[in-house]
Amino acid sequence: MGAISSPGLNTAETLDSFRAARSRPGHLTLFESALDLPVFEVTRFEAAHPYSDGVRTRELASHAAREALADAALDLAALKTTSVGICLGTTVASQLNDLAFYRDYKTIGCASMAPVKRYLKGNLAEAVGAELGIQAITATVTNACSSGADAIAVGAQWIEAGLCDIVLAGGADELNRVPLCGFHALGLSSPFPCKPFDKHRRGLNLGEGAGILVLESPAHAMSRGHRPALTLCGYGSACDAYHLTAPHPDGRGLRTALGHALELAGFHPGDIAFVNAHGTGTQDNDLIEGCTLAAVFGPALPMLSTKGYTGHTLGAAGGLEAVFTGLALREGWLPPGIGFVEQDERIPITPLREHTKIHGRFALSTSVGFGGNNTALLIGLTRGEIG
Amino acid sequence: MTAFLDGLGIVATTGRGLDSLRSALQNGWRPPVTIPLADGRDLPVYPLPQGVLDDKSFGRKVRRADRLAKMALFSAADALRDARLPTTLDRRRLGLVVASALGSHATTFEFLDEILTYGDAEVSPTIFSHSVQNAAAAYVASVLDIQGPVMTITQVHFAFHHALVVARQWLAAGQCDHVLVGGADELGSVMGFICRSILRSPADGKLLPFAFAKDPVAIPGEGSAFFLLSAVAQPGSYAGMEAISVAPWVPPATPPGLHILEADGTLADESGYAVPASSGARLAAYSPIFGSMPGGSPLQMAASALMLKEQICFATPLAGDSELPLCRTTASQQLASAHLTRLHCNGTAGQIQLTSPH
Amino acid sequence: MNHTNLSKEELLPKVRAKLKELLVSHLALEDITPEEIGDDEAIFGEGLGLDSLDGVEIVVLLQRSFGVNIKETEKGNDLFRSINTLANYIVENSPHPLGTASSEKEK
Repeated sequence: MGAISSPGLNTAETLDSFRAARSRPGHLTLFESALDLPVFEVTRFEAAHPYSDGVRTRELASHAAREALADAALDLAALKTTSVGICLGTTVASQLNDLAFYRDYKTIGCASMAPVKRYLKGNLAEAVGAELGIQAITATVTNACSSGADAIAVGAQWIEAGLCDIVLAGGADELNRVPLCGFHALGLSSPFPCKPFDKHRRGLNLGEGAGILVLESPAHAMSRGHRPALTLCGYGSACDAYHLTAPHPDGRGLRTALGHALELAGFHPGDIAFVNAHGTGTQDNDLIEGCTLAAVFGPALPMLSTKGYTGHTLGAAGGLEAVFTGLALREGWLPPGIGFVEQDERIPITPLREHTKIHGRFALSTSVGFGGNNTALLIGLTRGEIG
Repeated sequence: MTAFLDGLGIVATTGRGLDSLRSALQNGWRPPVTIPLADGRDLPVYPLPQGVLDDKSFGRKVRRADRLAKMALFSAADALRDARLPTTLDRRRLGLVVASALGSHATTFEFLDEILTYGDAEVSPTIFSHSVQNAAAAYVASVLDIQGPVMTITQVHFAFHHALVVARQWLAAGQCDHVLVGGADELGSVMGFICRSILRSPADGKLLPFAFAKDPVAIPGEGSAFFLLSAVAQPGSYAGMEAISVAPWVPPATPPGLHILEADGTLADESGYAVPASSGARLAAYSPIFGSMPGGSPLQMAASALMLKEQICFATPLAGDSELPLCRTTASQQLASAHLTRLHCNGTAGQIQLTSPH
Repeated sequence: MNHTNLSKEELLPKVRAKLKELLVSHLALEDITPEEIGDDEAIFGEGLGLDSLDGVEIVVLLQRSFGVNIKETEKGNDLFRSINTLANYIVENSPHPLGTASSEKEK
């Protein structure tokens, strides 16, 4: 697993932040905007290039991919003789949204083709493959906020179908002016640090980062004598089929996705030790997701709520939160949810208020996206591992 | 596993639907339309015909939808209707995968325009929410009530091929009974400027798919095609999808009745098509009908599906004096299989093998 | 508060008419004319049948066209109930209730 986001440049630093329950929202420094909203930048990241639309996402993704490969005891040389896939979710990197390009086009009628050519060279997964020097099947999933989780499900299916032995799967997104303006226009951005599931929540804060898993077929892992500590036991995805921006009031898509993930893994709700909720801090998401989780698992299920640490990292969120779920299982404890102080009486389930030991070996991570996409990943400790 | 193409819908420069697709393939090459660009230059293109997106039957549901969402919705709706699935279908067992090479660029640029015109704090939330890459899929899912898994894949090369891999795997894994899978790509004024700047237009308006040129000419097109994929063939099925791959090119396992090369001028160097062209099978290339689109595979597959169902081979347009074994005449004939090949400069090929339902 | 010389009673019908035009043109309500929108008709749910995305779009339209900034705390109120309630709010709070230049931007 590899992760880079506001709490840390890697999983070890991330765990330190979780241990200390430390959250670092701040002012925007990466680019200019009239909107002074709290954001979760990866401030100490030494990017190879100055900030520029789409390029930073690729660098964040490559950074997390390198950590994930090292964690899986795989070097790039070994990958040359393996069938590899790279499946990544993103929003920013898949859009031709270079503002300087468009401004030049609009005001002077011509513009440099450099950002266009960079965009046309391929998309995120292909670019990361090229940067790492890996020959791979590459696909870029653009399912808004559930992209990272969806990419992991696709990666798992590539392995099941025998297309690849190893897949780098997850998501990445840089902080970008387009979603900053867009979410604010939708009235979904909080003017203060976000408070997922709290009674007084006012919306989300944007963040950036990358979260990547190395998925490996059991046969390939065995052939190289590697025993991964974690297993992707199941996944499920379903659409609300309701509205472009609003979730279904009954959470029907999320229920279907959760049911499918449990069924695929052969589990019941009682087998789940905790859930990493999507929990953006918006009125609608937290209400509907919270009520749905409470209905399926009961209100006492421990909830890992991490967007108070990372902000909403859009395409990266599903990937990052899969990593956080895996880390929690491996380490055996959950950090408290940041920003949560007072329960919303309409939501029966709440984030944890303090560090909590985990009892159990399996957990779910949920991702809920624009357009009504709902995805659940079921991750567990591999048989024989003790958390 | 074989997945079956049980429904087909298309909205492209050929018009909307299969009758106009059939006519266009029968009539062969026709000249492109020349459109003026903002900077005073012009550009030959193969656009959607005027008025083809004026369908009012969806009413208010599509009042805010942009062109990309509309073309995807109309062709997806047509494919679903064409498949004649039972009305008792469990909508949670119906999935959707939407592919696009260039995504929602037109609305993205419109949103950038909002930022420049009104400032960061006063932009339109409607334009933003339509600029996200999965907006088209959201429209298709909500209007057609698709409650299974829904995914959008946006990448310049092989988005549609990956969409087919995902769709087939959902069927194989039993996650879905049917999947609507397709692709959509549009022209636009800024994209027109980009095309004019980096592509080379032919003066005579003719694409040359068999020139295998190192610096090919291109005429941008747009359009959408969707397929209803099922694990079990329905009556009226178009074709079976035997194989789908994104990998270094290999000759098809069984020689196809027709090998369609998707050379269309969107690669900087198309000389690589000489390799699949020499695989021995009879060849065709229909890009002169549809125009140049890195995301053009769904349209080419629609043509293939139509030929397999109706057991007809359409003459490859603009065959010229090529010495290759081309399908030069439109004729009804036994067509057991069709193979499609689209290349990437890095040597990867997107290959689709289809077999006749007969 | 406004910069016109008109009284509230004189302004309200003009503001209502402008609001209706803006809603029809900017929200792509192709099946209805401005004249067909009732002054007291519910904007959301039953009535005009607009949704949450229209709601946030209206907030931006009001900002651009009338210079009013609807505060977060006001969004849940009855101010969005009908053309009448919106027009009243604009007349009470807008520096230029007859509209601004930016409201003329081509859609």
